[in-house]
Amino acid sequence: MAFNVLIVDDSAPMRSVIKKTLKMSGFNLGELFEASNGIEALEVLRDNWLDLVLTDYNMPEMDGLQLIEEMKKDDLLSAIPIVVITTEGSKEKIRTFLEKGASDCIQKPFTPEVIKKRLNHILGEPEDECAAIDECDEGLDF
Amino acid sequence: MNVQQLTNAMKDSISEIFETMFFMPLEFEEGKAIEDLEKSIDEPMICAQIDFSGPFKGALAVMLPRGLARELSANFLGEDEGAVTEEIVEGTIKEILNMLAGKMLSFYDANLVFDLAIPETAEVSEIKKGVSAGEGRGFEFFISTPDNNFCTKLTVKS
Repeated sequence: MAFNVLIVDDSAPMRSVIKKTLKMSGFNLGELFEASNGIEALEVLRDNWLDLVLTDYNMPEMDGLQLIEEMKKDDLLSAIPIVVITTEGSKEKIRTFLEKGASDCIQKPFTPEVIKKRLNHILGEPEDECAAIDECDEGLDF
Repeated sequence: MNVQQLTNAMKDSISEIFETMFFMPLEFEEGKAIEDLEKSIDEPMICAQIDFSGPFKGALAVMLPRGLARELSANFLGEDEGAVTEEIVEGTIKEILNMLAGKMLSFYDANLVFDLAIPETAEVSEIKKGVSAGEGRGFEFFISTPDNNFCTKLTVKS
């Protein structure tokens, strides 16, 4: 099954890098959508069928945490898995993302292997190897 | 707040990101600063700055020659340098700075909570000016790559 993914990041270069990383990783990618903040993301989510949201935290207009909160309040969006891709390394911040409803948190920079493994785990796809997903990786290569 | 620990965290963050993402070894040169960078290059620079707040406040800035910024951007995006526009270069440098600051603060102490602002481009003069005496301290770092040089400035506000 191919998964439709929404990438939410205010940085166009970062959206491009995430897109390329997803394609390189061998992740079973369907249609790709992009948004540059939480408000745009909600519009895309309400107009399209999405299987997964990859969101940055620190964005203007509506940040990643507010986006998670809005999605969790909406019955039609609340079941879509959300992964926070962020520079944030604070344990408390990561705990907050997970408590608010994020399925996982991946720290930038990241590798295609990490992306594939973590996303497959969340989506229940077969994994190359088991991964415990309870906090951000530390010091990952790109 | 331990300044020495913070500057070490900044150096570790820069080294790790440049070496792992860009395969670019770096050397921090003691005794040199932003003025030395300005004297050593004959091309325009690109500067960006990001503020942070939390248990203490500050900012991290980066200044680099446009050529190096273009090279890093192309490398980051996996594109040819010719395909990289000025807008993409600025966006990429801001994103790299965002990662440097995030990693620096988690290296400093992952148990502390900091908020990062949105990175912005800035003028060299603005970054050189820094904070007034008594309001904080600024630390400039001159960094050599195999083919180029760039600077960072860490400002800690009291």
